[in-house]
Amino acid sequence: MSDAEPKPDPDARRRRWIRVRMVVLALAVAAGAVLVSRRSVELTLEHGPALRAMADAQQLRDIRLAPKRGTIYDRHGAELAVSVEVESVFANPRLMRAEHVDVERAASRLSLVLGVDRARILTRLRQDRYFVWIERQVSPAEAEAVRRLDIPGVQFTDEARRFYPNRELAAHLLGFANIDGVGIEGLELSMEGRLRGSVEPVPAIRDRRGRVVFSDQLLDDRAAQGDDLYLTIDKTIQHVAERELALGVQTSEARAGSVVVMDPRTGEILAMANYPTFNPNEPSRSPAGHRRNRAVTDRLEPGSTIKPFTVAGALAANVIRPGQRFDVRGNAPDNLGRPRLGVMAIGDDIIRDTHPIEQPLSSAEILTYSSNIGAALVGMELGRRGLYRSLRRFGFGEATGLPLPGETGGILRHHSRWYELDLATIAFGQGMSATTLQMATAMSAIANGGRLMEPHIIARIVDSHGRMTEESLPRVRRQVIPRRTAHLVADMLTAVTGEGGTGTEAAIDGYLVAGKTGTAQKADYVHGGYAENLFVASFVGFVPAQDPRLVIAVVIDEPVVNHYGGPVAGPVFRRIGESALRHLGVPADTGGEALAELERRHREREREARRRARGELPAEAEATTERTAPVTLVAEREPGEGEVLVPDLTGQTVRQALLALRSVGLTFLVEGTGQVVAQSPEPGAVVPTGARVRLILERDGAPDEADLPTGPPTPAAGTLAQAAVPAGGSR
Amino acid sequence: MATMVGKGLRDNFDWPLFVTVATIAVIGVTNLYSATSATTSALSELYIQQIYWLTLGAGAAVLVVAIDYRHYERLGWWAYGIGIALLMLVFLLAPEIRGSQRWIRIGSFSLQPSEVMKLIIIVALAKYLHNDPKTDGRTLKDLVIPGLILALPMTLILLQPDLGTALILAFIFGSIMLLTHLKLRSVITLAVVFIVSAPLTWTYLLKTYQQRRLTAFLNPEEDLLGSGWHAHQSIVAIGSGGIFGKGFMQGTQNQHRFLPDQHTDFPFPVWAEEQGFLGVALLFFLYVFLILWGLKIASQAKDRFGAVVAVGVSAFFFWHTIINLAMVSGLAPVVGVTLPLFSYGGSSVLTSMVGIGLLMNVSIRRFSF
Repeated sequence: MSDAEPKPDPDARRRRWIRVRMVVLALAVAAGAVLVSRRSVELTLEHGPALRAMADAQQLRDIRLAPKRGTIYDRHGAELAVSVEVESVFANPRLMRAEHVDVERAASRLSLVLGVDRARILTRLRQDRYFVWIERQVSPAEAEAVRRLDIPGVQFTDEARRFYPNRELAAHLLGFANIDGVGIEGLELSMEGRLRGSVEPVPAIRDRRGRVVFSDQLLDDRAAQGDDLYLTIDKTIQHVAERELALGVQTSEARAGSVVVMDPRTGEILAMANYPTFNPNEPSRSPAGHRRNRAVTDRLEPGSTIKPFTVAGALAANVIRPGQRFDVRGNAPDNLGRPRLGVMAIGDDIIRDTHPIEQPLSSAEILTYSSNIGAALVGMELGRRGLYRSLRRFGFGEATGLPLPGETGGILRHHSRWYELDLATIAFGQGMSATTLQMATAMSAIANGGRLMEPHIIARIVDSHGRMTEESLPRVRRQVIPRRTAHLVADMLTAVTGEGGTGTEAAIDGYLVAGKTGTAQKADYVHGGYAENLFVASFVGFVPAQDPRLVIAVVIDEPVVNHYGGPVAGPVFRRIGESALRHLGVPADTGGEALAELERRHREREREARRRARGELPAEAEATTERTAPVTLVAEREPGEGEVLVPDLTGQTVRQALLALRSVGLTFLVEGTGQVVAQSPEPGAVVPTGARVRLILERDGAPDEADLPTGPPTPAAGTLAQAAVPAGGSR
Repeated sequence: MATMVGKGLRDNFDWPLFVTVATIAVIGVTNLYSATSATTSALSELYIQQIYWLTLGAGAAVLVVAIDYRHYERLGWWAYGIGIALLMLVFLLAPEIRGSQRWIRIGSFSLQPSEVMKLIIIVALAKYLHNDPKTDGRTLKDLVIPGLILALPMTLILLQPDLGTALILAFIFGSIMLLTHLKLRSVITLAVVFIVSAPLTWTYLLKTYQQRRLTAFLNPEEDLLGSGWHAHQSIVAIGSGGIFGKGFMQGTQNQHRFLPDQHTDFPFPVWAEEQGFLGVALLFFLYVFLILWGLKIASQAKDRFGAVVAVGVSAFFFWHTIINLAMVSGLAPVVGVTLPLFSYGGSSVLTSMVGIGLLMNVSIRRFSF
């Protein structure tokens, strides 16, 4: 404010006037500047940290990420459940209103493209909100179509969708996740904690609308990612198990069924199949009953398949000797005091063998012929306490502990609460219940030299960086029975699939199969006691018998066409076993070669007979008579004492055929569904009473519903293993 | 005349003024770039527009400088008349934006007559004071005509309503009148009138939203998410910059859109947040220098018209700056006053540049007779 160049001013007063006021003004300016400066110093320097904290507080927010869900693989790394990014369509109704979008028209177009109800879309578009879903997880084609509509305010976002590439494969095991990627069933539910990944809140920077702008931890998106599961399941075996189970259930017109395949040496579950099944990609399309993992959630009375464990327990406890013989005639007096063969009195109740046997049976034969009376006698030798403990040691009455939701341990009441009859019936598998998984686990102990391996289904858990965080190693739960006893029982069980055994249908060419059939009556929960015509057919066994690689438990619930464990569950066991052994490359038995050859020849004969019955081979058989199975008697003669003439059943429905056979005292074996197209033995053959007639059924054209069997055959029709408990034994 | 202009421009060009203005403008544009970078694409191109406006403003300033300011004295009343006419046109033509009518659309441009009026009133007052070289103390009676000169446009602007601009107008008027010698008795009378009229103004003249802004200023925590939001976010932004700031384009308050109107009324918090106290100090220095330089020009002006114009323009910058800074730092209520040369806005930039042109004009011609 200096006058660099003083010049004559006419009005000095005026100059002073200006100067004074200029100084006043400058001071005012300075005062203002000081005021504002003071404030900025205060804000930036003094309150700076606090205000910075405030800024951070409103910008930083803990967010919950939607981490990528872990993948589920089978034991060889085949994908069973994966998460894929798909697009979801949402709308911003407020923006649409601001853009003057005709929501009616928009709703119509979206409805057309996405196949969603127009009214529903319209209701949502009319809401006064910033965000409404239109349709979540649409296909790429649908997303493209919506994009082409180019409706302002209709936008897309990526979402992770759980996808099961093999559809029904291992559906029950895997379960499924809901649209938000939260496990709802199966392993998806039980392993939620590992699969979901870190849901720990992560600090992130957000903008005014709360949208995440940046997060340190988001950069490493694998940090929060879920772990991958490698199951012990073998995709191939699982597939075979499911296919064969479905076939078996359909063939026997059963209600349901389940299969568990285990490696007895390690306790690894190789397959776990159920039927009916569902597609986990669209779980809501199936009824809840189809989604149940019956192999672990359904407890069924096992029936005769429990007998090996009774015998094994008695042998291990040294209460019976291997060669000991048991009188299984029963000889309970009837009303007139006459002894009845195959009926045994226990207190006021009776148990019976459906195939009475005169001569005393060894423990091996008790298994082979599946004598209920025999098993009851063995159980009595063991005593309540002994039988209870033995079965508990085999794992009955407690869940196996697999990480599968809803697993039940079955029911094995404490021996102190057993009725008098229970000791006898539990010895042959009635009056207790078990799951398919328990049966397989218990059988594994016999197969594995008495060592019960802890069953497991998750081989290893690998985190997102490929580091293994958990690995299941084979673990012995307990030595249930001595090794020697286990081998002894295993040998006994090979006879079951041998000639004359109840499980010949389960035999596999080239391998010695050990196993046990089971045909259990089902409890009638409405009327008490046991239902007259509801059965559970099962086969539990292992192969190769000498060096077991597979334990397979097959349980078929309420088969109609035939209800015996052998013919219903046996073929399922055989087909799964054949395929699995081939898949695993298990060499055919060497030690039991001679035996296997015998077995093979026997089956050859049976099959040939079957083929002939179907008409694939010439019916007359001069040359083949020698090789014909004993039951296939073709000689035309008058039936003698204890013999009957085989009726002609061709063209009849199952029901008609069964009634006809029962009236003459014959039993039957059914293959296929529909009407009888062939039978073996041929009509007119003379066979012993109680012999089996094999019926080959086929549907021709549209099956006539009225001709289909409306009810299952009654127990009286059977002659093989069967537990018949009188109504008085109900509980 | 032309030679004189040429000579004056060449020899007496006010470089400090030019450099200061240019620096503020450049900083302003870069800051605007950062301020709008996070917003929608339509807004993120604003810094380009600002450059256009600055160029246009510079052109206007050159024109203003080219003509000796003494010619403006003769046009004073004409300009005043046109200004008043434009303010009236606002009510006929202008669309309502956020509840008030302020802009006139001319083609694709929007003109804010109230901005232009700030300069016009300076020129009008300068002309009045120039022709009334009274040196002894003025009484209230002497203030009637200047008062009317202020009252007419101010009323029109309050009717728009635009409280901020009306206040600026009043403050500029007050600053200029401070140059004149008022009798003590008059000052006291004015003070009493003001104290009495304030509650009446509050009740009858202020709109509800204006009242709310003022109460929010007095008690910011009361309604943090409503009326207090702007001031609160602004304070947080300025404070969180600390000494060195968060760096260019790194201001989280702005980038994450917590700051409202970051390109018009709140560019300073953006700058403060990103450049910290050092940046703030630099900007303060530039503005203080500009204003004091303006006062120096006024003190050296060769006539009263020039002096009053220079003081008026300085007051224009001073009040704009001080109110905006006080507003964004929570010292004053949010009244919508821009930071000259820093805020985005065509009318604001144009007005500021023309004002600078006037200042330069007075400065260059301080030696010419």
